[in-house]
Amino acid sequence: MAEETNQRLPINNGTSGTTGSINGNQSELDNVIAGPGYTGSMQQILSQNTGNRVVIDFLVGTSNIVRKEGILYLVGVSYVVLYDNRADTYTVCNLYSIEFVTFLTPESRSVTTLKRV
Amino acid sequence: MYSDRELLARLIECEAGGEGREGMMAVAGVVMNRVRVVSGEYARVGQRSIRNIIFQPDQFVCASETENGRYNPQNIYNMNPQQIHYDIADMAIAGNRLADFGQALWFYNPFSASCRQTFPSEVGYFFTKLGKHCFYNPTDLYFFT
Repeated sequence: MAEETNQRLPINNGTSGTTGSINGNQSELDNVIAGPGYTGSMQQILSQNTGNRVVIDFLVGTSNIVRKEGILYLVGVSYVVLYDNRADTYTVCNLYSIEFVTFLTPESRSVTTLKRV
Repeated sequence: MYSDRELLARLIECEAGGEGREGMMAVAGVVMNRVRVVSGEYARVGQRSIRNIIFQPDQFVCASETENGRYNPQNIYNMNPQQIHYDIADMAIAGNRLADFGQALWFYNPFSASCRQTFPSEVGYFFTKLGKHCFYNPTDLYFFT
């Protein structure tokens, strides 16, 4: 099945901030990512855990790690979208640059326990 | 504009549509190995993007509508990918590779029975021939490109 989905983020819609669920339109992408070809993949485990607060380490270049924190909003075949609720922004990130994804528990969200890289 | 998945499915059909499931998996693996490689030319130019890797100039003939100044009908825009092409694209994107194809970065069709020992230069050494395609793994030199 071809993947031709329109993944619009909830911005520029005349309202500020997000309303309702912080989960993106994951269901359309799930049709692809939930398929047998993605069993056990990074895409699949991330797509099954949208809505959680995560810290993601990205490899930029050959040795530079960039850390981003946010709510895992949407997972595509080649990208993830992080929602920063403080800045009310969405960042689309290259999935193939991801090295580590740390899921924050409710207890760990209250304080920044992860050291800066 | 095509999604990354659509691009890869079309490239698989175009480059290896007649090579059977294994041949297509091998070619898909080459593309994704380039996306994933941590250093060298493909890491530098491709920036871990399927789109960048496929459209890197002078790499995949199918990514261009012209070849040597002439129209090239065998291109990704003229493809009509079927379910098997999407399935193979999905498997490769998800990280799956044909056994022992975890490093291969190049392939070409020699239009003969034998393969060159290196390709495209000393950066790649002959790994195996599968169907009509010869496959090459990177040498140490590649990582200085």
